[in-house]
Amino acid sequence: MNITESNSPLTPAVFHILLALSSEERHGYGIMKQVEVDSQGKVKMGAGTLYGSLKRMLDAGLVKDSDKRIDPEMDDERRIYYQITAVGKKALSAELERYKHLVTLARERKHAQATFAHGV
Amino acid sequence: MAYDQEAVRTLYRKLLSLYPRAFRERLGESMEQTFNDLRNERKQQTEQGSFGFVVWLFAETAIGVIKEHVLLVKQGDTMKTVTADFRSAAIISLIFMLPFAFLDFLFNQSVLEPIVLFGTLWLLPMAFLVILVPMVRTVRAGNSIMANPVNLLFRVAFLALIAMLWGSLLIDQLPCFIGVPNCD
Repeated sequence: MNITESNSPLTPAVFHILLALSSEERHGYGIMKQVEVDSQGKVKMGAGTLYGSLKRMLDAGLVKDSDKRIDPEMDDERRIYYQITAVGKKALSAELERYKHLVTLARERKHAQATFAHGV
Repeated sequence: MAYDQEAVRTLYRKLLSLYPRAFRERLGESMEQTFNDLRNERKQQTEQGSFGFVVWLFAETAIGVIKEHVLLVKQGDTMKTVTADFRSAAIISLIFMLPFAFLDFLFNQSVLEPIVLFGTLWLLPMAFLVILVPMVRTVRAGNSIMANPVNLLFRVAFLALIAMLWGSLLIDQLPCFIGVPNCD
């Protein structure tokens, strides 16, 4: 499945990576740490999953290599930073909209159930 | 558990070399760097070794290697040469064989000592994949595999034979791998 198809939901790994990159450019390790923070420690991504997803996201144009090199004395100059692209932002927004819709739906159903329970 | 840090790094580099070339060239260095970052972080957090964590990192990356090769096989058109087919099949079957070699090392302290046995355990799945991949590719391309029934019959027969040989060899040898005394 093509991950850029606007109607197809993103995989959890792709979603978390896009979310981590939405605030700033990060390198692989930085993305992992941010995903851990965002998911409150519930999602732990290994290098195999992270870079496998990144490869497909690079190919699909959701993310791209960044020129950013943070202070070379503090950081390894060879370290590659990734940034979200316009396509990536669009895909992330679409996914968040989908989640929003689902949450609304779930709330409505819960409300409907509660109304039913009162009626019986 | 104490273990040689440099050896671990070298071993991880070797594992990364099993990725398809395009993947390795683009992301291999970053993966190695991330691996070192994760290990350094773990070292700072725990004074004791982090053997389990390192094993998890290796296993997770090994799964990544398999996934990338399977993706290449599924895409088909990116598999440009027969050599690439063989290479992917060889790597996937090597990863299938490694857990048994690891068990053997753990319980019998032998490093691939029964070389013929491990060679067979490696070659059988490789042959299986080499026979299977063109069939999968044909189906994925939307063509009928029944176009050549004789060819199909031979392929299916070989696949069944290989699966039977591999399964029975494994069942027969598993007690030896886990160190049962007097097994042969």
